Amino acid sequence: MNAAQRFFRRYIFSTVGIMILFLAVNLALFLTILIAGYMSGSDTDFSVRTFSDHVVLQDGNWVADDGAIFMLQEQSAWAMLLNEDGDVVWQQNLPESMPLSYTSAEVASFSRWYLDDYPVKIWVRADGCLMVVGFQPGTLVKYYFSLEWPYMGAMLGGIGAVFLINLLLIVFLLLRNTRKVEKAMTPILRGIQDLSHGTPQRLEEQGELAEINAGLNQAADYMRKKDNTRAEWIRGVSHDIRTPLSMVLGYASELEENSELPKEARKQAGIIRQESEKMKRLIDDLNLSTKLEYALQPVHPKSVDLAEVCRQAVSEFLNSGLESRYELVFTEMQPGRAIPLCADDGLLRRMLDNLIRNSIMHNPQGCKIILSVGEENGYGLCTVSDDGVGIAPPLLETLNQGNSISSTQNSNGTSEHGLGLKLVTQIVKAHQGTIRFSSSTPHGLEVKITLPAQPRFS
Amino acid sequence: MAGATVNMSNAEVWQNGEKQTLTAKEMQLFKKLYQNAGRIVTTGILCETICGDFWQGYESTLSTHIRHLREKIEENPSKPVSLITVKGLGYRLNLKEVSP
Repeated sequence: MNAAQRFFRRYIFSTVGIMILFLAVNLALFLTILIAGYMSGSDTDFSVRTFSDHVVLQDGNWVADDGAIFMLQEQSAWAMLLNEDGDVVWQQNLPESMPLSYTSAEVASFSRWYLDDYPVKIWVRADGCLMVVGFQPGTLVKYYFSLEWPYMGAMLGGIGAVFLINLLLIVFLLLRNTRKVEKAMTPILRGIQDLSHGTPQRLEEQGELAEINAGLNQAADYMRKKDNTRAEWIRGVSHDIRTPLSMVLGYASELEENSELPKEARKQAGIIRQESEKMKRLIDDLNLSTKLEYALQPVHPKSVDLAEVCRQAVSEFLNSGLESRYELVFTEMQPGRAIPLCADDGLLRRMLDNLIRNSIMHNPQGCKIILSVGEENGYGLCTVSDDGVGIAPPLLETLNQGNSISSTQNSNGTSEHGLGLKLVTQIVKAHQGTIRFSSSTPHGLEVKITLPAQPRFS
Repeated sequence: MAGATVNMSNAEVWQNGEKQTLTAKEMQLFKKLYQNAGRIVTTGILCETICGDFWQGYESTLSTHIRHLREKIEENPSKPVSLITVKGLGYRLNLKEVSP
């Protein structure tokens, strides 16, 4: 979610940046064009005033020096000088069609526009004469520009306003567009996130991006179907195995108790029974683990007393004949006090059974197992610790990260599946509790479980 | 049991030739313990048998019933041999092996 928002923010910023860049580049280009145009104009800007200075009155005659004539030739222009009456008193290269006298109306006209298609520049000399320089048609553009001042002001303001409105409109449309895209994208991104967490939720197959939503839904369906198939498969297999296993168990224990059989045979039957029981537990663990993993077995929460559940678990072990090298101790942090929890007591029992059994299994030389239970800040605490061989630190790390140990080897060389502790972790997670594996002092394993009193079950 | 015989059908206890009758609650308790003879029965389960589902907080009631029961079936109620307390967990009823 955060990532998506960040992405869109960045997207908006980058677009605004692009716009600013766009404006800046445009401005720069415009200036370049202006400068380039200015540079590409005639190098020697013809100044009528300078030219006019070259023409002087000498002994009642107007004379132009070589510089003036050169300047005219360079521009292939002609020039004439009008006196105060409008008569031509001096001329150079004047086309023949030009009259030699002008009325004031004509002068006013050509000073602004053209003289017989020739663009002209004029200069009023200090002596009252008018210097007129005519250029070849097509070399100069003359444009008469005059505006009323209020209109000019409105115009300038208007241009600014139009520019600003345009800018605002662009920004507004941009934001709107982005918002729209974000709105369409957000559920998809959330869907992908859900999918990656393994908790896909159905997306609305509507709008422009309905196809993507449909695709995500299909992926989720596919995943769910695959999960279901696997869970079904495990459930089926474990069910099929359990029935014959019960038969094996039944007959084995019958043989074990048959007093007519030789002692050796009865002992062997006992081993068959024990191993079969182990197998049965493994299958049960596998089944439950799968169900919890794919949330196929909803937790059935009810009000339970954690202390009583622990008591029952310990009693069960003591009742079923714990071998004398093991010592199982039950302690309460608040003796006699009930620890009410909303939890599935069957699963809690399973969790404790697995923990105690784990301690027994990994310490064939015998050990002291302490199960302590208590309450703290509305959380049920439950600690199972033993003074056995413990677990290697890297393995502890793996357990704390919630990963299962595929299989462990105990000191006897008989391997034990690592499902038991995984199941414990799963059960704790299903109750929204926390679990921490650590080494107890001086040696041994300590498992600390914290369960909330009122978890929210999904 | 060491020193006492309980008639399950009419809730009579015979100890040293003396007859005592168990109350209904005591009988329920005894039945539960008897069904799990030799095994630990937790306080929670025992409370549930006499008080029903909502047994929390009845632990003292249970200990009173246990004391009464002991008075009837134990030779020395303060040093029980049949109805043993398992500290922290519950109680256990020890039966005397009756040779057939």
